[in-house]
Amino acid sequence: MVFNKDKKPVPPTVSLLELYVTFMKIALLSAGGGLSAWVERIVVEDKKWCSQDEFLSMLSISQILPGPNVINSSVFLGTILRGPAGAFACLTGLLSIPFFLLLALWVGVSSMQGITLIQNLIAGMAAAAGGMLLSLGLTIAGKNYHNIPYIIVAAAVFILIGVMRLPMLQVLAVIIPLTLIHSYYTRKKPEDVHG
Amino acid sequence: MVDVQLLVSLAIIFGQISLMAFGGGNAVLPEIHRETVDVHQWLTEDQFVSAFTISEIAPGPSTLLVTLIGWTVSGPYGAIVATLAMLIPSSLLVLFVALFWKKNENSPWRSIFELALAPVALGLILSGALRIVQTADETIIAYLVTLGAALAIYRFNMHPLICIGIGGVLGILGFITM
Repeated sequence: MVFNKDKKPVPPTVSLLELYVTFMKIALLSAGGGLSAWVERIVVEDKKWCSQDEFLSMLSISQILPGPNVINSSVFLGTILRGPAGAFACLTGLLSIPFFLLLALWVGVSSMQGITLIQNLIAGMAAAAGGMLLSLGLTIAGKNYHNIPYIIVAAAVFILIGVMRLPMLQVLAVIIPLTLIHSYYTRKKPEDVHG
Repeated sequence: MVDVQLLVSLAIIFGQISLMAFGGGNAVLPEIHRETVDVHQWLTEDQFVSAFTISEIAPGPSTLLVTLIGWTVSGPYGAIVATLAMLIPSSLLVLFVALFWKKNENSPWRSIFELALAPVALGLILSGALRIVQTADETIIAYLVTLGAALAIYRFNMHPLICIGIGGVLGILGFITM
């Protein structure tokens, strides 16, 4: 990986076509759900377009902003990699096939039998996709298990939002300021301060 | 003839809903229902439920529910207008935030935010996994598929598509749903 003077990896130049095709693939792969796990797998692990921490913070911001989470994180990632054109490429890639497929289903599948069959298929895929998300969670937790504050924050978010089903925005409105204060006071002081 | 007035009201309604969708698309489901079924009576209750079901089970974001509503209201133009209205306002907001994020790449604040937000995302990912388990896993076999997939991918590096394929086959055979 290439690094610039701040020791940060330089984002590779990705063609708009590649962004479009990649997100088209992600849309199809995530048929049963677990979309963020697929984005992580392809964008962070396979293509190495950004680091895992960068991806995770983009994911958090995308969920806080209004709008469908999946679409927000695609737009965010596209913008980071290639600016507004990249956002457009990711968004259209993500939506082009589902848009027509959905209309075809809506117009074509009128029989309840057909719907039940698809429903059963997707339910099975969703069960596995839940496992994929769980595996991603375990991987990230495994990398950070020695970082006690990190694990406390993740556990608090999981218990409050996942288990207790409290509204996400209110929970994050309390937790994020606290984690911001914590990371402000524990950050590594840079040796040379930029202009 | 295309009913322009109808398209304009589609655009206005979904454009507003787009910016209200804090916490994702499902947060505004009741509002979409209220506007399209109760207030404007564009769809019957039954149509809304089947549109919702199809958008949930088809690949891609479930927000494309609005595409089906637009189609039902005004054909292909309605589908396009409703989809764009739902996507553009929130996406523009994300675009501006992302451009700002990118511009401040080397600011110390950006790394403070990254440090603070990464564990939050981990909690959200695990919450998402739990939600899938709670809604999709109706049978013991479904739970086994979830746990088996997690173990196979995490521990044995299996490609997720294999797990999802196995899940899909078990689903068609009727092992997953009650």
